Amino acid sequence: MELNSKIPNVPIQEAWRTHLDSINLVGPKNRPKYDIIVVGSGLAGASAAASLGAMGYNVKLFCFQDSPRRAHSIAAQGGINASKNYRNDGDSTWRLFYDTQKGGDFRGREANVYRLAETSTEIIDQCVSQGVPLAREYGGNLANRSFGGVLVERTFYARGQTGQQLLLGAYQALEEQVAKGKVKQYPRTEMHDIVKIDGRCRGIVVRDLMTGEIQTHAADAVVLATGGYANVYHRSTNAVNCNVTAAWRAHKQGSVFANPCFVQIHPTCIPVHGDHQSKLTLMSESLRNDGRIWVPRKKGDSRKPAHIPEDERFYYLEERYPSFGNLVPRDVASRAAKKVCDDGYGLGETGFGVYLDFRDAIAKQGKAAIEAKYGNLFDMYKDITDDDPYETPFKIYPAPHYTMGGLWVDYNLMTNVQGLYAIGEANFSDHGANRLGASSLMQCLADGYFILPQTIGDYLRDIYQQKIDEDHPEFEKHADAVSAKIDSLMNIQGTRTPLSFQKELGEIMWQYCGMSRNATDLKKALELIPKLRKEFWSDVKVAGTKDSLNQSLERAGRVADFLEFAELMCKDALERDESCGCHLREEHIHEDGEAKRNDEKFSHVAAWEWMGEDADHQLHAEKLSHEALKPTTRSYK
Amino acid sequence: MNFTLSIWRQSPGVPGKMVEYKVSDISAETSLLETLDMLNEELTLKGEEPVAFDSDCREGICGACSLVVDGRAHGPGKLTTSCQIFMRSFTDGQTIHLEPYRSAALPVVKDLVVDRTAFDRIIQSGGFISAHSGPKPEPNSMPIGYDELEESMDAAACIGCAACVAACPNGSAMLFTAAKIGHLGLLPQGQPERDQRAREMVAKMDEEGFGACTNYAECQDACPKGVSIKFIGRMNKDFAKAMLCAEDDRRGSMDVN
Amino acid sequence: MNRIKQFYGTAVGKKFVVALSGIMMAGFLVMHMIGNLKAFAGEEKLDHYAAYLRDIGQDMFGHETVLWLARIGLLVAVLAHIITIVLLVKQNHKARPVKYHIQKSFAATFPARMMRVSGLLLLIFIVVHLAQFTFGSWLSTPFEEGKVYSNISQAFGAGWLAWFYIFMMFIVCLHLYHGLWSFFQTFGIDNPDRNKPLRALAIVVSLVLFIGFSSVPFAFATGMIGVAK
Ligand SMILES: Cc1cc2nc3c(=O)[nH]c(=O)nc-3n(C[C@H](O)[C@H](O)[C@H](O)COP(=O)(O)OP(=O)(O)OC[C@H]3O[C@@H](n4cnc5c(N)ncnc54)[C@H](O)[C@@H]3O)c2cc1C
Ligand code: HEM
Ligand code: FES
Repeated sequence: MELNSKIPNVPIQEAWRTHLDSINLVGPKNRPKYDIIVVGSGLAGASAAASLGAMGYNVKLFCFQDSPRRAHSIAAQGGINASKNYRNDGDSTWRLFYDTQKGGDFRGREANVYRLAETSTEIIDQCVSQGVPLAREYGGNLANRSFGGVLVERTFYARGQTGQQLLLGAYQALEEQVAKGKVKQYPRTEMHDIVKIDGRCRGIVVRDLMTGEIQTHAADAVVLATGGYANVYHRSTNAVNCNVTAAWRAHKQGSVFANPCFVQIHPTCIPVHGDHQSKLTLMSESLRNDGRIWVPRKKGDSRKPAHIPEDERFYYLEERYPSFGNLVPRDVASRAAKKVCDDGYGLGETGFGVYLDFRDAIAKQGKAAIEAKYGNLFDMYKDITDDDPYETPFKIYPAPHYTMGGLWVDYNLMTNVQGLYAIGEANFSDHGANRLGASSLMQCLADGYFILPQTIGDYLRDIYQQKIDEDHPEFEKHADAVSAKIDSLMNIQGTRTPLSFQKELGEIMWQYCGMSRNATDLKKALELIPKLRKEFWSDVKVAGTKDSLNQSLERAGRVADFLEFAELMCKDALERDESCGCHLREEHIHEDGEAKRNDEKFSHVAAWEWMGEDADHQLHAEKLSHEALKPTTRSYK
Repeated sequence: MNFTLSIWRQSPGVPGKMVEYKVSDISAETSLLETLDMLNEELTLKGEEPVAFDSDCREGICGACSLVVDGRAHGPGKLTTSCQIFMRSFTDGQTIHLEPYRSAALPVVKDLVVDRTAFDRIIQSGGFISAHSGPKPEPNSMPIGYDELEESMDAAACIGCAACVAACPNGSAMLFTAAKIGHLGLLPQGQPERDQRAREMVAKMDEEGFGACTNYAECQDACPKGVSIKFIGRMNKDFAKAMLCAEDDRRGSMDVN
Repeated sequence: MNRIKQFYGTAVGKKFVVALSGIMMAGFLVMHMIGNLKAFAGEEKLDHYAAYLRDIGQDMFGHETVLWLARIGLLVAVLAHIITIVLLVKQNHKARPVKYHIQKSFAATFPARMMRVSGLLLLIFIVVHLAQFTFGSWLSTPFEEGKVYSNISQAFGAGWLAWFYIFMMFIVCLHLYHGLWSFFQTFGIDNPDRNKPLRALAIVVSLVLFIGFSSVPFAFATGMIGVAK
């Protein structure tokens, strides 16, 4: 199989325009003749469905939540980047491109990243005209805040609810199309499979979560906007229902999966307090602007933090990274926290936690100033933990947060399966081996509002004459297979709950394929995962019935996919025998503990092809070009 | 800590009832939904049907979670969602009553899960600004005052959880609808469609079977994002103006392809 | 007309009708109270005032015309108020058919929760009151058209009737406390900055009405004023 990224052979600055001018378009009179399925109603899915509907296509939109407005994008807090250069601080398309590529440790696709940077300003214009209340200054102009890893202020925000406001903008545009009859939405409906006919994706199989009914839907193209897979670790900052199912099932139908091992671990989350905890709450990265991170120098020091004198505090980030200090990028901060905890300095009973202390900031700036900047975060922390961070330091620990890996796509955002597209966090996209803060919202909306609606015509024009509907025998075949899989899950009636498997898998992944990795651990995980999977398929117990709302069954299906996917993740992590971005292989670190890339051997996208249940995955390496920007070593010392 | 959970159980086609369950050894920092998770694990192993309830983000922003805890929408405390209720807010040994939202327009689907698609339909009736994707004017060419913007954001903060409906003795959706009309109506971008938005969203609300407002302000008290009932007053004004003073609605005569 | 029909067809439109008719009645009550207080000025002044009411505008429209117009206006307000309330209550019952096992309220004030009860009592009171002092039926004491002072004096002299009136005035006060504030809220005049002063205004007006209205039966009942027996 040949992976063709379809990137025009021109300098990246001209690539997008050149490409648009050379591809096929579908005229306005013909668009109503095409049916497009969009799975996922997050920023990517909602914006794509709304845009396609407004253009005249017939769209069906699916999501598993009870309303499209609740997709996980709603939870994004911090902001969205755009190179508007409003602050007059030297920002430009090039600079945003540069920061994103460098942040991703040069494992992103140059042309895609440049296009993303180019599109970023249009996104802000679009959202504002839809009524998204992005923050303004007193003079009435848009405001900005700064985010980690860059030297300009380019992040737009709506209080601590940027994702919510952007998603509501897209959701409202979507509902407008629903009212016009151009989009039909199917909430509480889960996609279980794609249907391929003659090598093209022609529809999907879904389960109505309310009635358990298995339905088929035919279309001329299918767009997956189903988000990330950080819940393979069980506990992450993601919503509890996020999963890999849609992407994984497409993968098993031939769509190759790129860079699955690239997972971002966010440094400032509320630590795990007990076994029954269901998720980890993110505390905004901005806290690191004024908070100081430390652990007691004495192991197991049980004194109250306020009673520990200054010289017995280990400000490990400030000591190790004197110039960036507490403001090193996410991956560096996360690994440093892990290291001190692994060395035995971690806090509390679990030993997994470090202090983020505002004592000095409050003393210097006054409580009022801190309250004005971070009041809502302090309150949120207090609500959850019952500790008052004005009095005692935050306790934080890294947690899985975002997945850079995903379905492989070409420059049109189409996967290698004809007619199947992947957008948003679900594709492997633009963030290389590490994503910068506030760049995901940007990418999701670039994909959904601007890129996909313009590129999809290229393919659609191509299949003009080939209408297919749900009566085609392939649909029934796939629907039967989905039913059979559900039946087999229901029939095992073993002794363990689906959740218990998800927890165990999460622990394996966190321990052996977490913040830092090595060959021995990964091999160990590759032994444990198949064993656990086998146990799952012989001992899981799913409660209830399949023909009504059954959250136990929903989880079982998702865990089953995580159990297969996790293995691929570990394989990819083992195969990528270098350190880059968030992927730290302990075998490849500089003397000072920093990541050591191997550009000669690994400057590629690792795209994995499913070869069948009993065969090994096959690796396809898409060589990355570095014509515009030569890779350098990241240093934050 | 130990608790008795008295939970509304209802399956499609069967009348529901409150059923009591004991849960024990719960730590104070466990959340209420995690306690339900634990109960469900036990029920699954015993071969009973787990309790169905909605949740997703579990950090108070998606609006999925929707319990009525001891008669209060979302549960004890202010500005909170069901997923942000922790067991330390109850007393050891207490019986905790968990019920679904009660409203004709939000029918119970199963146990503690209700159907909130009526809210989507209210938005469909006009809760948007028509601005299809494509090049748009430079945002700073249309300055928006800080206060206006912030007030609009106060309304836009609504998470669509429907606690307002659950808390209102009249099952009214005024706060939800008013929040959207307020959010968009306070912005310059929202002006062209302001009249028709007010007309159609208000009419839709009645059509969906929501109740009227009696100014109890229970909705505002239950709202996890503190959306103020002043937006209801604002909506009323917008609506009266749109109905009684505005020009004719000409959209019917426009050529929409 | 079509628009007004559509307007009234919605819950919000009905709310405006309730609020508007309510405020009209409240306005009437204020005038009524001021008129009643004339009782303290003595028999002559009150009877004169009562006669004056019938004479307003008589040079232009004829005797009692304006009074009847006002009465009709008031009647329309009362009917609009009641009919609309009945429609809204019906809608609300339909919207919330199932009650919670644990019923609690957190924000609604007692007067707010009592609106339907207090309103109903008011309706009964209005009927009784009109029957007594406007049409003169149902009074155990002699009634003489136009002799307002002595009519009331004798009626309230009976004691229990005065206390019934005072109790009813308390109900008016209760209804109006929520009603007046509600008016501001319904018309979008209230907001968090003004909430306190507006709530205070509602309390003051309803208390003034209560004291003003009650003082008359109180004074008659306790013999502070009245015709000699
Ligand atoms: C706590 C938190 C804070 C963040 N803050 C920021 C930030 O400040 N800035 C930033 O840029 N990024 C941020 N991110 C990252 C960003 O929010 C996400 O990457 C992004 O929102 C993903 O959007 P999406 O549209 O790809 O998918 P999602 O929003 O995850 O949507 C997935 C959709 O797919 C549907 N779906 C999935 N599987 C199926 C299936 N099988 N069948 C049917 N439907 C399915 C779901 O129902 C859902 O509608 C944050 C992430 C988290 C967790
Ligand atoms: C005759 C019988 C009456 C009944 C049955 C009645 C009933 C009610 C009820 C139930 C409400 C609450 C309506 C709602 O908010 O949805 C209300 C509101 C109100 N009532 Fe009455 N009422 C009566 C008489 C009066 C009188 C005599 C007055 C004036 C003195 C009055 C003044 C008001 C006002 C001002 C409101 C508030 C309107 C608003 O909600 O904005 N009512 N009434
Ligand atoms: S689960 Fe998202 S708000 Fe509670």
